[in-house]
Amino acid sequence: MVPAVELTGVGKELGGQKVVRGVDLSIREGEFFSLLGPSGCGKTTTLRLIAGFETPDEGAIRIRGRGPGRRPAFAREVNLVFQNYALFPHMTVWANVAFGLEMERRPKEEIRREVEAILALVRLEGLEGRYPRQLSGGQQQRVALARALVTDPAVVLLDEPLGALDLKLRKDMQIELKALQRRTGVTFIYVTHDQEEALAMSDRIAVMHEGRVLQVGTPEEIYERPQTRFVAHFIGETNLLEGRLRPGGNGVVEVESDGLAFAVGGGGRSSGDEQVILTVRPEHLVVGRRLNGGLENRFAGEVVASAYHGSERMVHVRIGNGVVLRSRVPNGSAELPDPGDAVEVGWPAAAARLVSPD
Amino acid sequence: MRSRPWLLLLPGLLWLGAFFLLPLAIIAVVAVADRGAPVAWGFGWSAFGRLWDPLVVPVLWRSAWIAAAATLGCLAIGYPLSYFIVRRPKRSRRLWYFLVLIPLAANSLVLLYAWTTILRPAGLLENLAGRLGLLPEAGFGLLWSPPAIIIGLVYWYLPFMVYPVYASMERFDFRLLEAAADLGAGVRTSVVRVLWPQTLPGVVTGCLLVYMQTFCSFVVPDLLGGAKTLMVGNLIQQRFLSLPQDWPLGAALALAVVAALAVVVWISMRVQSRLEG
Amino acid sequence: MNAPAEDRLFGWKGRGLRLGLGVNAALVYGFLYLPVVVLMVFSFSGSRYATVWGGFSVQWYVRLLDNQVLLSALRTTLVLAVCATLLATVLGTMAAFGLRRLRGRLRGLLETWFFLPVLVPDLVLAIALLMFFVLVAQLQLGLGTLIIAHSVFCTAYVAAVVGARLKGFDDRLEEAALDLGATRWQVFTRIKLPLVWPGILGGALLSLALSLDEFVISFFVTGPGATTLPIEIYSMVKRGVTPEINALATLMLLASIVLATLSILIQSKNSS
Ligand SMILES: Nc1ncnc2c1ncn2[C@@H]1O[C@H](COP(=O)(O)OP(=O)(O)OP(=O)(O)O)[C@@H](O)[C@H]1O
Ligand SMILES: [Mg+2]
Repeated sequence: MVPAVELTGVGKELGGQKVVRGVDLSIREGEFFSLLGPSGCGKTTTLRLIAGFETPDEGAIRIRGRGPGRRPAFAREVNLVFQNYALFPHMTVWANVAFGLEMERRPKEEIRREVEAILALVRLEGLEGRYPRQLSGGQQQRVALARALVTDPAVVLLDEPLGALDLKLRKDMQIELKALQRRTGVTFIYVTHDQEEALAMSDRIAVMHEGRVLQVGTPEEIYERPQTRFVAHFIGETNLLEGRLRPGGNGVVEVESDGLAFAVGGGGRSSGDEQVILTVRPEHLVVGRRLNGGLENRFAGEVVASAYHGSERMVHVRIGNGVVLRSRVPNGSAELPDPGDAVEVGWPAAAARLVSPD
Repeated sequence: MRSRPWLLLLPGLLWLGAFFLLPLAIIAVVAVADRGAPVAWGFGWSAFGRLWDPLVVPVLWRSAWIAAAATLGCLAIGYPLSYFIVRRPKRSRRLWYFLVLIPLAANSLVLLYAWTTILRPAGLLENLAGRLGLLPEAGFGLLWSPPAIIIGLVYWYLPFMVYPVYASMERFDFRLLEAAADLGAGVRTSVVRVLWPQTLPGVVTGCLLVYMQTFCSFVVPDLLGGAKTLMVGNLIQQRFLSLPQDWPLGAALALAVVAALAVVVWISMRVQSRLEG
Repeated sequence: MNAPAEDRLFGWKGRGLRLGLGVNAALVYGFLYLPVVVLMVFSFSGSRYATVWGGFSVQWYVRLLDNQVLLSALRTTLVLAVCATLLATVLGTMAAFGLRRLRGRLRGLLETWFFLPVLVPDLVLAIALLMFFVLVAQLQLGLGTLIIAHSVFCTAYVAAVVGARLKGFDDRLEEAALDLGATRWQVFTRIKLPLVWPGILGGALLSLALSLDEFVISFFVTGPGATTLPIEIYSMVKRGVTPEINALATLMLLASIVLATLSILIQSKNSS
């Protein structure tokens, strides 16, 4: 199947600085695809390249197999939901939503039908006559969405559409957006710097850093099997350990760091004696006065801090080589160590992963 | 100090009260006085009767349409010019803008005088046209005609148009043009349906300023217009400074002008508040 | 290189739009500066006719120096401009500070009121002042009435310029300084004045430039013995053209341009 949007080797320089470098992406028809990365990593720029507001310095962009994307913005079948909505302030909700259809010179009757339908879909019936400034943030957001969706574009691009909303509304809108995308089946490319949002909504995520795409995958893949140090660090919380690789037996490799040896499952790379980075998520770490056997990694340590997070507690344990590991312990579990306690901390080899430095 | 703003305001208020408000009020008083040397203190509406003189009405009419033409001229070149300036890179933008304002700050007669040397018969323009073989037998006859006045007025008052229009364009969020293009609008539709309505308040203010100023301009028609193309400004000046003097008629004329302009201002303020919803 | 926004948004039509805008801008700037150039070029012409080039010469500038009428007009113009500007700067600055203290409707109303002299067409103001001086105040028309008349519109400009500068002034700075134990007077001299003086100086320079060039109002309220340069130029133009005007006009134009540019530069000094 032809991808909805395809970027090959796209690079862009802005103000003498390489903002997007060698980006390859292939976004499938009907997919909810997120671009995730810290502020300033080039997400908006990538989106503007797809929309045609910028032209790539190198590489090519194809929309539904058609390209090269030299067509100016007004001729592209992608619609953008702007970071601050960019609703036309002098037009009513109705006129804003109808604008795109009028540009396509659709018959009046059809415009009326389509606008009504889409306003019902985003639950804005009864607000047709209002001006944007008479709407709440969430309502404006939905107008922007309706305006982008109504012309039935190949792709809708959304640039941090929930960024201006408060936390509660944000959560509600996440669910609504996702449901809307499911129902309409339109391809969404969604930009956000909020990893939780990306994990919760996306079919697939591309993690960006300094203009590059570091990893593309489903939320599970990104979270469970990060491939680079940055991805592991940026998505969720993690423990990172640097060390040298040593071949070990039966599908397990060992990493030596300051005299301690860590076992890592899933082998594969065992060429030996190279500098590597190991990551293990706090929820995979077990802490206790005495741990039972069965864990490939087990170290004695001392609790240095313990922070309360509502449903869980983050326990910081310093182990032999001075490294502090963080462990996520559900509240209400049997014994909760206090700072100063001598404990053991451990995790299975399969929970740890080797990642490449960026 | 915060509680005593009046101490700071009082000198200015008194000064402007004495030398601005009071003089303006006197216009109304003199308009209903009798003709004398220069004014005889008696009450009467005779000055307003003299407004309907066959010599006065055509002048009022001419002032109205010449001012309208000059306003349209300013808009026609000032609007695209403002767009041009707003789209310059940030650093050079100020410079382009100042280049428009500087002739206003140096609004001297001397520039109008320069226009007379350009437009006069056998002046620079006709010289140039003659060399290019474009000069009609009788010359252009530009100076001392309404077109010369309009050129002069557009020249002198263009900054009054650019100032508010440019300000409204600077406030305009150019992402709205991106949004329009994104939804499939071409360049003409985007400008007409998004940029223009959003900058309309600036346009209204600009037209108002230019119309008010050009309507009773006196120097431009005096230097570029000549005796056959008087505007109301010339008429007022003559009634005050040339013989035979008629101050009440001059004051009545000024009053009529101010009243007419007030109506224009009032209407456009209504329009503007409608625009801003 | 980055393609301009219009091209990226609208393709070749965007390019057409930009071309049109560029052509219009070129024509307008040409239109605005054509008379300036003409004036300056012909002020160096050796010919006796104001519009015929007669070889390079500075004779008209030299002649200006001998022209007693013009020199005395220059003196009047300068005295007038300086006096009116001093008056206007004091009144306008005080008013701007006072307006800043007001709140709500009253402030908007008074702000409009102080700006009104700029909006009222100069001819209307001119005849109003003439009638006031002659019929009510019964003043002898001359330098005195000129100064009063100029101070009216100059005050409006100064108040507007200083007011604009004050708008960018953060009230919290004043509160912070008071909180740190400064007296009102210290707040004024150490905090406000350093932040606002570019506005005051800019307003003063603008007022100077406007007064130097003012013609219509001067023309009406002047009296015997108080002829300003613009009035003199006007009568020279009316009497018949001599190339001396070109030289005089060039000098005045340069003075105005320098003053206006300085005013704008100073006003924009360390403002956002
Ligand atoms: N027009 C421009 N000229 C110069 N540099 C630019 C321009 N636009 C963006 N940049 C730079 O490019 C980089 C990427 O910008 P971009 O807007 O794509 O980031 P982003 O990932 O969307 O960030 P955010 O999450 O804050 O919106 C930033 O460092 C920014 O400073
Ligand atoms: Mg962004």
